[in-house]
Amino acid sequence: MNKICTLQPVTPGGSRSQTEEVPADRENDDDWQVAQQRILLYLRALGIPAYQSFEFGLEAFRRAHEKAKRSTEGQPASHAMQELSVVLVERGFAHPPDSPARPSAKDRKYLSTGVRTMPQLHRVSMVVEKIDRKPWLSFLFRGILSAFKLPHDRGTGSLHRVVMLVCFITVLLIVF
Amino acid sequence: MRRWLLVLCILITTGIAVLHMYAILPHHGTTNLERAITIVFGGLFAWISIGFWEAMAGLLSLVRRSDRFAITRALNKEVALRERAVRTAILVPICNEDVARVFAGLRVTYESLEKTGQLEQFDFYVLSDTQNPDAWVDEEIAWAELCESVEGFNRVFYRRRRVNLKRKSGNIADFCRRWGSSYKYMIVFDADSVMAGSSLVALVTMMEQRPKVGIIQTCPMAVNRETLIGRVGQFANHLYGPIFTAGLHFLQLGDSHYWGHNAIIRVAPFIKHCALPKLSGRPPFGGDILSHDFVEAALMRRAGWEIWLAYDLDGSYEEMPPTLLNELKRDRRWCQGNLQHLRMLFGKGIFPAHRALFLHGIMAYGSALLWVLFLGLSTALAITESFRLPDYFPADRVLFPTWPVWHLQWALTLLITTAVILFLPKVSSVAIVIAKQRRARDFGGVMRLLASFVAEVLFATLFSPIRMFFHSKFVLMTLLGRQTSWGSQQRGDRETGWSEALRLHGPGTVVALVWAAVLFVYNRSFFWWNIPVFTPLGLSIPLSVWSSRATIGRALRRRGLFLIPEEVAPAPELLDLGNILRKNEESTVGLPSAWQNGFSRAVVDPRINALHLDLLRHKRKVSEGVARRRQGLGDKALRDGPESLSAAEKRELLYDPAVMRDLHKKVWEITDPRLAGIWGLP
Repeated sequence: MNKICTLQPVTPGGSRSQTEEVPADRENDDDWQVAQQRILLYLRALGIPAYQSFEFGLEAFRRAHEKAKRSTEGQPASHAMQELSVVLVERGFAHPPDSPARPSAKDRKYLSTGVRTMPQLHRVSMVVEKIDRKPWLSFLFRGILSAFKLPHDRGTGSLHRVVMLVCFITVLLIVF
Repeated sequence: MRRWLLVLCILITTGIAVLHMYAILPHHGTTNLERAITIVFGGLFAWISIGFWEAMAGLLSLVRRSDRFAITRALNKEVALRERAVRTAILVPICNEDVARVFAGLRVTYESLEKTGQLEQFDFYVLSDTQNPDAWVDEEIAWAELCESVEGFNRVFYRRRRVNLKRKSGNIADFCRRWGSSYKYMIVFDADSVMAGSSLVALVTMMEQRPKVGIIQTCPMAVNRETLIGRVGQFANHLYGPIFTAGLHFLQLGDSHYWGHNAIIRVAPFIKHCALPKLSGRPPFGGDILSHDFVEAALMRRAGWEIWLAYDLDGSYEEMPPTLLNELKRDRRWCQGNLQHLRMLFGKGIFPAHRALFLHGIMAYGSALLWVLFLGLSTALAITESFRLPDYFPADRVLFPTWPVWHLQWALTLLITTAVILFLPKVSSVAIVIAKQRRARDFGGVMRLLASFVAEVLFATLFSPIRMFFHSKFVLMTLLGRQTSWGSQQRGDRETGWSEALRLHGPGTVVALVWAAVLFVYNRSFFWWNIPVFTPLGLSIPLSVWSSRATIGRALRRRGLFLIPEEVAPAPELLDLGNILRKNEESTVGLPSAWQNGFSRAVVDPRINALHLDLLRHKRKVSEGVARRRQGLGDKALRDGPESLSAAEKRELLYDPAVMRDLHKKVWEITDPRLAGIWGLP
């Protein structure tokens, strides 16, 4: 029943570069081919060096095959990915409690625990100052007040106040 | 004194022009229509006079050997930043931007700063408000790759906000609240900003030398555009920009602008005085403050801190919108923001110079409405005159008739004066570059510079009526209470399609054709006078499409037209930016096509899935209902593929580490070949 099938590293496009022989179930040959390609794609996506990825892939594939012999449930791809996760944990490329989706610091520096995306917080408050709801009215009011607050000499003071008021109202009229 | 002189010059110029206008009109300003025309004309002429006199002030500054008020004079003394332990944060607020471009710009700035030996004094923050789930994952990947490549962990930080409260100003305020107190200064970037490391160090040095300064704004130079309109814009920015910014500096001194990016800010007073309120009432005049930079500058100045324009500091770059439609989209946002400043114009304690800046910003778009009004009124007058029978004896008992006289000579004088006001600043800029600075070679040589200048003037004249039409529409829409959405700006060289141009320029074309037909029928002489206005508007569809063509822009570049100094002798930072962007394009080759999409990649790619889970920081407790809904979304994604999810659904899944981990595991165990193919698996 068994035959020799090839374990080949594949690129996402499907090209093959190197071969190694592994026993496989003749009836499920196509499914095992898929499982094999998926294992290698996963290892490649993880960025694991080629020599290690062959070793891990072969190990995961052997275990999956044995598991498939013992159990009637599950598909080759499913078995293979589950076994790969176990292999990766054993070899220190993934954290035990999680799925195989967690490579450790060995693989990528930014996944190590010491790295932060943000520094420590130093909180301060930023208080919003109130803003006039009708600034033009208060502006007019302030303007009138300031016009009348000006020091006024006899003769020029009154004139100054009148000129200020006229200027003020003219500006307002122009703006609106 | 300088500002009063400016006001006096504007009043005198406008007064003379208005008197001329009175004389030209058929009834010499005695009818109500003519009075209205003269008033609107006065407003418009005053507006263009401001630009003219600013440019003349700039000319004076540039012709003189040195400017004793220039903030860059503070660079004469060296400051040991390291000994003073001056910490500066470089902030890059982004929202659904081109991720590769943002991080390439950041990398260039980082490496340039590294070369100065002052990198230790700086930290970088990418402050993301991105809501697009694919762009979110792409940003995480780009951040990780940048940190890896420059060894920038614990120096380059990435933070994404879940809620985009108060938009960009809220994004920066959020930084200030969380980490602002750790820094003395912050330098705010835009998504397309690039700055030389030496310029960043210079900004910090100037701030250290001038402790009363709150903000120093650099003058970013426009670069990297390939489309025709983008190239013309960046050429104009390089040629005319210096004279106008020097003029602004001459007049404003320590009461200057803040343009929202490529500027250094003293953090402590910013935190204390520049928190922006939410305006009462509904948008467009209420709600979040859109053009926050002007308001922040006014608040900083009100608190007693100076704001300076470093108009002569090099090494600050930005990019122009690539097409007319993108420029108009940006203007729509700016228009609403600037009109909102009507609420600030009379705010308590605002410096007069900043009230003038608010008014200037309002008039930048309000003037378009005035122009439309002027054209409308003058058309009404022309049509009325064509129907009216001449009245040779307007008063009773007169011996001699009153002949209707039109003084062509006066009209031409006014036309020429207006042209001088509009174009003399441009001519002066060219003269300064050729004769004073002897930098014509930076623009491809004297002949190419002159040819580009003439072409730019024609280009600007052609596009002015189109911009005027849109700006007046924006002002009207804002006044009528129509709100604008806050989309991200298109920054790549994407071209405008014919259908898109037809949809957006169609109304303008119809208005131009109807207007031209009416004038042609009722007043032929006025028709000829207005040809330069309605012809470009009528041709706005092809003009918009052709001007967005990168092929035309590149062809003109090959012929040496619209060259800028950064193209003749590129700065090292810009060369590096181009190289990084090219490498980025090459590096995406080799991945399954399904993995190009950010969300799919976060689900399938084990490395990116792990990265995303790490960046989610901590698991949040969610209610059972939410957990069930998310599980349902996960099942839906597994069953029907990532495209079956909406952006909001993808976002919700990305927030949940447990579901993402589970989804990753299940996707890799898919047995259905069709589904596996959707996720890019064998």
